[in-house]
Amino acid sequence: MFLNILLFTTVSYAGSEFTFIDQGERSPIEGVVFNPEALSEVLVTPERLKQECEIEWTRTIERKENEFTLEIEKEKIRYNALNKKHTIMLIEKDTEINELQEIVKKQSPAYKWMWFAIGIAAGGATYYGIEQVTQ
Amino acid sequence: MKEKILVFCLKHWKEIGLVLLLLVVFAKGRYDIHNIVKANEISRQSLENQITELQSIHEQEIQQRDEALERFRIRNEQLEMRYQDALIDLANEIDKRKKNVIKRYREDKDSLRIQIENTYGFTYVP
Repeated sequence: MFLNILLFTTVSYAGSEFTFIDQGERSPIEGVVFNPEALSEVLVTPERLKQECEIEWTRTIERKENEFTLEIEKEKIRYNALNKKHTIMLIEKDTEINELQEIVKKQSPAYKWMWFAIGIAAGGATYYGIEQVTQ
Repeated sequence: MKEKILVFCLKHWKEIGLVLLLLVVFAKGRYDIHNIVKANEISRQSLENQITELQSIHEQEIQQRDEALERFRIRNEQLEMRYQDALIDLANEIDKRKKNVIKRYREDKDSLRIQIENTYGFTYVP
């Protein structure tokens, strides 16, 4: 069976080195040997982690965006409802005040001088009538 | 007859005046009560209108909030689906890259060597 082997070295004084060796072949450096499948895992893992992080970030940001969008919508709905309530109450109160004012106007001395004059005239006439009768 | 009435009126004019005055006070009292009842009715009607309108607005608010929550739920579901799809796509892409590495190891070691050097900064030892 033909097996290709990759060898990495971690010897600090030799620097970071690697080489390709075939199965059974003598390695020029000291280190750990990976087969091609393990090598592919090692080479792809950084990019995979980066992509996973980006996906996770995007998901988190979009979730937050969704939550904030919901909060904004709820606040807008609340604001509109309060605005409507305020307008309705103002209209109703204005209507009530106008109608009550109409009643108060009927009670108010709008024609007080007329009634005063009528009172004086009626009192004078009564007094005069009584005087005439009693004489 | 007229004289009798006139004599009666003259004799009891104070009582008659008092009765007339009482009638006027009674009528005025009735009129005032009528106005008070009317004012109360207006206030009651106004409050009922306010309650009805406020209830309607409150129901609309609840309905709109429910709709907003539903939209939020749908957006979250779509987001989760996109997330799962992205993970699957990534897994497929990673799988392709692994196969590509293995293929290049067998067919094009030079490009693989360059990739290792660029990715990790290691030195190739022939």
